[in-house]
Amino acid sequence: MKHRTVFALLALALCMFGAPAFAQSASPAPTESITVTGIKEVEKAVTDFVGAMTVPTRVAGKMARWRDRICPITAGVRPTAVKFITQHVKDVAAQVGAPVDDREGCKPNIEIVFTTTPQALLDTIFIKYPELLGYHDNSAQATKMATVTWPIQSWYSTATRDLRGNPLVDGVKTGGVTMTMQLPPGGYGGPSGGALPMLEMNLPDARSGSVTGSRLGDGMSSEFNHVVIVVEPAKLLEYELGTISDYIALLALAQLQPPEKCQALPTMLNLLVAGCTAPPKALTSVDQAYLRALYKVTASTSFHGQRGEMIYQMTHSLAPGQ
Amino acid sequence: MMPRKALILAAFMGLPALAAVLPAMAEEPMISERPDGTGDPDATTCRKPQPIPNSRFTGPRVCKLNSQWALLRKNGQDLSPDGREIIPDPKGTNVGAMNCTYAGGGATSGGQMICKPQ
Repeated sequence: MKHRTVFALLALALCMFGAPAFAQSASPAPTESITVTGIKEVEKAVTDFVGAMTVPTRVAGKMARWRDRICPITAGVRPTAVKFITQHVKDVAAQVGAPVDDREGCKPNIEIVFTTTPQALLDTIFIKYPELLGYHDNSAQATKMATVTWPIQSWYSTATRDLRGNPLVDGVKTGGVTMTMQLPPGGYGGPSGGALPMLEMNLPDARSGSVTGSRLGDGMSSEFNHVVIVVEPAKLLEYELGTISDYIALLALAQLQPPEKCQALPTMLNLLVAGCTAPPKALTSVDQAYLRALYKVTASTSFHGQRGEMIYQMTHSLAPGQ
Repeated sequence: MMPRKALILAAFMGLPALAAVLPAMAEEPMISERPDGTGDPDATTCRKPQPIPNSRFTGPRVCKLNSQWALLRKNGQDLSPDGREIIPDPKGTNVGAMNCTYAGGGATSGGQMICKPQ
């Protein structure tokens, strides 16, 4: 067993370091230089893609993903389509490493609604369940968020989990934090004698949580609390149910919005962007690599670190053997 | 009534008392028979309890942000007396029509929505 491991390591080392040297001496470089340029191009494209697609949550500033097991529910289409779409989202989730709740009657946390009047639905959400729109500071932001602009659009309610594992839904009023501080003694700008006065500060919108204090990661992580996906079928007549289901699955598992311009890498997100040449009509290897990487990244590390991990995972997934 | 009380308090006890009273006033939601969404969109306005049809009871006080009341009026809607359902506005669809505009704001602040009756 030990020998086999050593052999495997040697073989790997030969592949990584020995092979290029051999290639250089045995034949002129074209194959190798193409390979090297290839991985760099892939890495550049992946970096651009991850940079354009990933957004940090407003509270913890991390990438959000499902920590709770997903339980999608679909409404507004015929029963066979309901079953197909719901199961498809679960299947894709299982493939990319997202947790899935397979129990009958599980509590839905992904709501997929097909409607001919999406804006009316969003108006109702704005009035009755504004927390489902996602984190917002004020009504102006909420109004903007509640505006339907795409035929398939998603809204993400996120939560922040602190170092001790306590989750708190982002944007929920907590009653604030009251801090009591002792003023410094004389000589540091404070009073010169007697009992040190106490200063009480009340921060009405503040939240408290346990963090590490490390630059690499503060111990906080972001996760989805609830996702709403609204589909307007009248604007998607040219697409088959499989295509729509794939797109829905992508939005259900990652905090994504259609990009402003066509992405260089082949991704389903180009589907609804005007002017993209032959956009993929199914989840591509890029989309799958993105989702797999998202569910592999260290949840508590910094957003910058998470992006780096995503780029590494995706690059090595899309350019295997490099 | 409250401002007068606050001024009297301030006169007798000095300005700190006024400072103590004013924040409490700011947090108190407005009460209205029929909120129309005017004013600060992030301020809360409560509708007085309304009688529940076919019942001797009245519903609860229903509190929403002015922006939410404004959207209801814009859509010709109201909340049911129990506050749970969105219903067609019994007083007509154009009673509370609003002109809503954004003012100010940047990339992060999102500006301010100001609604006024048309």
